[in-house]
Amino acid sequence: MTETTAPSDVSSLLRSLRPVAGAPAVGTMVAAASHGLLGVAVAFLVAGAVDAAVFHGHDAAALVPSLALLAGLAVVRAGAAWASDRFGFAAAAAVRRHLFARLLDHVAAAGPLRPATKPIGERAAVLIEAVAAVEPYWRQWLPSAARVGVVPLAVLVVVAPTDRWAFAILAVSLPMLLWAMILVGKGAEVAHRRQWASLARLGGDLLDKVAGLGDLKRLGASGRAVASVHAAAVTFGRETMSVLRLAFLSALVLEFFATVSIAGIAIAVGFRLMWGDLDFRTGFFVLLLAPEFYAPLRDLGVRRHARIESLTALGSIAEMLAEPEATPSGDRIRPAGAPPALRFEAVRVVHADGRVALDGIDLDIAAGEHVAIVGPSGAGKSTLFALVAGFVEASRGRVLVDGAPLDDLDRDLWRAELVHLPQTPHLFEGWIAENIALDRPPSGGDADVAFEAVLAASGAGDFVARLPAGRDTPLGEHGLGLSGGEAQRLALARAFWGSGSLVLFDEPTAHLDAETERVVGEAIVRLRNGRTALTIAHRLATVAAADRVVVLDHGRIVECGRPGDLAAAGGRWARMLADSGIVTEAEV
Amino acid sequence: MRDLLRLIGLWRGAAGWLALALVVAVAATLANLALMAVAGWFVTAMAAAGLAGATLNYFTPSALIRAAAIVRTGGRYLDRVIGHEATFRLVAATRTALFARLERIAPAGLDDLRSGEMAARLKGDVDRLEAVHLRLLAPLAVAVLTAVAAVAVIAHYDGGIAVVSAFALAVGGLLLPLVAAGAASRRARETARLSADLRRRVVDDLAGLAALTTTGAFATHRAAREAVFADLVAAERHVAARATAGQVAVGLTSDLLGVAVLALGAASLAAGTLAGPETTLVLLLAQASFEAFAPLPAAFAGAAAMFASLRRIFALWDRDPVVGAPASPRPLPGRFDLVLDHVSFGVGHAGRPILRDFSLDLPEGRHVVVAGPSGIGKSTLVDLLSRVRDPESGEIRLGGVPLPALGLDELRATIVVVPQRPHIFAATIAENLRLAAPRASDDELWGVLETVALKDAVERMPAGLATFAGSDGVSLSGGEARRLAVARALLRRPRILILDEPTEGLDDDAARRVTDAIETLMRDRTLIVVSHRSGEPNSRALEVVLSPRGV
Repeated sequence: MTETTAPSDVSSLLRSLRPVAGAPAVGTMVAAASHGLLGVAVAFLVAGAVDAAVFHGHDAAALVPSLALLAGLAVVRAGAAWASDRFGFAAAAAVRRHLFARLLDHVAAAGPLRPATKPIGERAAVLIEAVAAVEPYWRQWLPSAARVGVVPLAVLVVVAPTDRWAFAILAVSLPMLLWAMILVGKGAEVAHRRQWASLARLGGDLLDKVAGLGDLKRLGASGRAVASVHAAAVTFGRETMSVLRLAFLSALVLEFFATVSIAGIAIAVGFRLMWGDLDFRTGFFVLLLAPEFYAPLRDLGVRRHARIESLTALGSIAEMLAEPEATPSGDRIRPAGAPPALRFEAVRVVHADGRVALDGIDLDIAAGEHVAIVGPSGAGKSTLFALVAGFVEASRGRVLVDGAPLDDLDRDLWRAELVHLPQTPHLFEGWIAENIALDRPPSGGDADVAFEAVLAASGAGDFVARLPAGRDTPLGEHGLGLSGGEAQRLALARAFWGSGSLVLFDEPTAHLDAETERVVGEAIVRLRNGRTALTIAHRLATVAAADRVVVLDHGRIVECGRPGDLAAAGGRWARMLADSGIVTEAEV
Repeated sequence: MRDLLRLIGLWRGAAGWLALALVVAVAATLANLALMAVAGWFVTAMAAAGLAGATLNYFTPSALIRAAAIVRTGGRYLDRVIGHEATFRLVAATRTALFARLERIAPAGLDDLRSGEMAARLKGDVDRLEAVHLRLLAPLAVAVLTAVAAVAVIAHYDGGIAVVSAFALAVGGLLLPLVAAGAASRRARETARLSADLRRRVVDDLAGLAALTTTGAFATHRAAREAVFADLVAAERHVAARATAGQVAVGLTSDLLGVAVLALGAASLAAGTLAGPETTLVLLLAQASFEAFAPLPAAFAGAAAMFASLRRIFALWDRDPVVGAPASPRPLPGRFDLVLDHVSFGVGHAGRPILRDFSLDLPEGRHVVVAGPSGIGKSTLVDLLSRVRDPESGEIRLGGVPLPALGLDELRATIVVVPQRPHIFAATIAENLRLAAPRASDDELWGVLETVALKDAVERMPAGLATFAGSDGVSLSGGEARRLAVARALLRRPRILILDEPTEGLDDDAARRVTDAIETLMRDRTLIVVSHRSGEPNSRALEVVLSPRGV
C-alpha cells in the first residue's frame, strides 16, 4: 500500500519515529496477524463440528473435544485481540509523547517571533490536534496492514487445494479490490490536507476571536464575527465530510466486491454441493473463510484513511519542526551572573517580509553600562532587543558577547541571563507567586524572605498584600482584576526575582503613576547595579539616568553619546528635547 | 443525562435526517444478518439435497442472497453519508450558537475565563459532540434492534438457542462493555478536563514564550506541560484498556456463543427438533448479530468524556450577561450630553471599593482627561460608560436618557472605547480596520492611519495595508498596535470617544502629534482620555483627577 507516497520530510520523520515506537509496534503487528490466523483455525473447527453434527449424526457429547478446543481457541484469540490493541496504544503513546516534547523544544528554539504570520491558535493546533492525530497510524494502520499481509494469503493457501472455484473467485477479486482502493484513494490525500488546513484555521480563528470578543463588541463587529465563525465551522464540517465521503466511497466499493464475492462463493459452493462435487465440510469451511478473507481487506480500506489522516498530521508537525531555529546555538558557556559586554559589528537584520529592521549597527556596550535607546516608533528598538535575546538572527554582521560571537553561546543559558521587561507583560495562568517566580516558586524559609523583598522592591508589595489571598491569588487572563500599572509591577517583580546579568527594559515606568514611579525608579537603579542594562526609553527622565543614549531611526544609529553631550551638541537628540518642550539643564 | 436531553432538544430540527440514517443503518445490518443466515442455510440444504439426490428451489435463496448483498452495501454507505452530513451540520451550528452566546456574555461575564479555555470548549468539547449520534445513540439503537430481530428469528427455529443467544447478546454485547465503561468513567471525564487543560496551558506558554525563555523558566513550564500530557495519556490508556476489554468481551462471547449453539444444535438435531440447514442458519445468525455490538464498547468508554464536554459547554452557555438589553429600547436622544449621577461601583479584585458617589457633567463636545494613580478606578469608569458593567448605585444618562434604556447596538455605535489592551486580530491591517467599518475605502483607511501617525510606518511595510498584523500585533510594536486600535475606533465616527491610555508606549513627540490630530478630528464631539499621568502635557483638554478621596 505505498501508492500514497508521503512527502520526503514525512518519510524521514516516520523513520526517525521507528525506534520510538519500538517493540510495541512490532507487538501489535504480530498479535493482529495471529488474531487473523486463529480465525482460519476457528472456521476449520466450526466447519468440522457442523459437518459431524448435521451429516454424521454426532450428538453433543461426541462433539465435546472439538468444542472444548474451539472454546480454548476463542480465549487465545481474545488474548491476541487484547494484546494487539494494547501494544498499538503503547506504540502510539510513546510516539505522541516524543513528538510533543520535541515540538515544545522546537517552539523554544524557534523563539517567540516565529509565529509572526500565524495566529498562536494555529501553532497550538499542531501541538495538540496534530500530535493526537498521529495515533491511528500505530494503533489502527499497522495492525491492519499486518493482518492483510498474512490472512488473505493464508486463506488462499488453504482454499487452493480444496476448492478451485472459490479459489478463482478469491484470487480474481483480490487485485480488483486493491485497484478500487487505489482509485478511490487518489483524491484522499488532497482532501485530508484541505481538511487539516481548515481545522487549523478554525482553531486559530476561534482563539483569536474569543480573545478579542470585547473589541468585536465595541466595534459593532459581533454580527460579522459570528458569521465568520459560522463560515469557518461549516467549512471545517464540509472539508471533514469530503474526506469522509471518499472514505465511505472506498468502503462502499470494497464492501460491494466483498459482498458480491461472498454471495458468489456461497452460490457456487451450494451448487457443487448439490452436484456432489464437494463434501460439506470443505464447502462450509470455504463459506466461513470467505468473510475472513475480505474482512482484513475491508478493514484496511478504512484504516488507510486513518493512515492518511495521521500522515497529514505528521506533515504539519514536520513542517513546524523544519522551521529554522531563531538563532544557532553553540556550546560555549559564559560565567553566569557576570555582566556581559556587548559589541555589534555592522549588524543588519531583515524581517521575513523583506523589511530592513536594522542596518549598519556598530555599537560597543561595556560590562555594567546602562544604555538608553530612543527613536520613533518602528525605528528598530524592539528588533535590537530581539537580536540580543537571540529571537532574531543578524543577516549580516555579528553580535559579540565578551568578545565571543553570540552564536557560539549556549542559547538557552544565554537567554536565561536576560532580564526582559516588556511594555505589556504576559501574565500566565496561575497564582501571583508563580507569575513572579516563573522557574522556582518560593517555598518557605529564606526564599520567602527574598520573595517579600522582591515584592517590596518592585512596588508590588502593598497591592499584593491587599489581595484576598495575597501572593496566592489566582490571576485571570492579562492579569484580569489587576490594573495595567499593577500588572506591570508584577512583571517588574519578575525581573527582580530573576538572576540575569543583562537587563532589557522597555520603558518600565510607562504605566506607573507619579508615586509608584518614584518607588520603582529607585528600585530600577538598584536592579541595574552590577548589571548591563539596555532601556528603550520614551520619557526624558529615563534617558537622563542612562550612561549613554543611542538614537535610532529607520534602523540606523543616527546619534550616540552621553545624554548631556548630545543635548549640548545640537543634533537629533537635542531637537527631540527641544520639541518636547521641557528641556532643563538640571534634568539632563 | 439532562445535558444530553437538552442537546437533543437543540438538535431536534435535524431529527428527521438522523432517524432516516438510523432506519437505513438498521436495514443494512439486517441485510447482513440475512446474507449470512441464508447463505449458511443454502449451502447446507444444497449439500443435503445432493446427498439425497433430490432437487431444491435454489432460485429464491440465491436471489435473496443477492438482494441482501446489495441492501447491505448500499445501506451502509447511505447511513454513513446521511448520519455524518447531518451531524457535522449540527456540530457547526452548535459551535456558532455557543460563540454567539459568548459574544452576548462578553466581556464582563467572562472575566474569570482565559480565552484559551473558551477556545478549548468551542473547539475540543464541541468536536466531541460528533459522537453523540454517530458513535453512541445510532450504534446502540442499531445493535438493540438487530439483536431483537435476530433472537426472534432464532426463536422461530429453536427456543433454547434463542434464550442462550439473547442472554449472550445482553451480557456480552451490552452488560460487559457497560461495566468496563463504568470502570473507566472517572478517568474518561478526566481526559476531557486534561485535554482542555493542556490546550489552554500550551496557548498560554506560546503567548508568553518571550518571558519564559528569558527568565530561564521554560524548562520548568516544559516539564509541567509534559506532565499534563503524560497524565492525559495515562488517563487515555486507562479508558482505552476498558474499551478494549469490552471489545474483547464482545468477540469472546460471540465465539463462545458459537460453541454453545453448536452443542445445543447438535442436541436438537439428534432429538429431531431442528433440521440440518436450520442449524447452520441459527449458528451464523447468532454470530453475525454480534457484529452490530462491536462499536459499542468504545462508544460506552468515551461516553463519560462526551458527557463531561456537554457539561462544560452548557456551563459556559448558561452564564448570564452582566448587563441586560432593554426590552423596548428608547430612541437615541438628540444631544449627547453625558451625566454621571452619584455613581458607585465596588467590585475589584479584592472587593475594594472602586468608585464611590462619583458625579460628573460632560456636555456634548467637551474634551476631558481623566487622570489618577493606577488602580484608582479609571478603567472601571470606562467600563461603566460603555455599559460593560452597570453601576451598583447612581445613574449614567446620555442626553437625559439612562444608559440601560438605550439599545446596546445604538449605544455602542455612539460611545466607542479603545481599551487599555486592544486586541489586534490575526488578520491584515486593512481587515483589522474594516472590522469597524466594512465598507471603508482604502483612502479612508489611509486617512485614519495618518491621524494616528501610522501612515508612514504602514507605507514602509512591503505589503502596505495588506500586511499581516499578527496575533496580538506581533509584527507591530506596542505603540503601533495601540494606535491601530485608535484608528479602528475613529472609523466608527463615534459621538463620544473614550481612549484608555492611548499614548502609552509612545515617546512624547509622537504622543503629542497623535493627541493633537485626534482632538482636531473630534472637534465638537466628546472625547474622554484616560491617563495614569496627571498633567498630561500634550492635551488642551480639561482635566478630571481621581484620587482616593474622590474627584
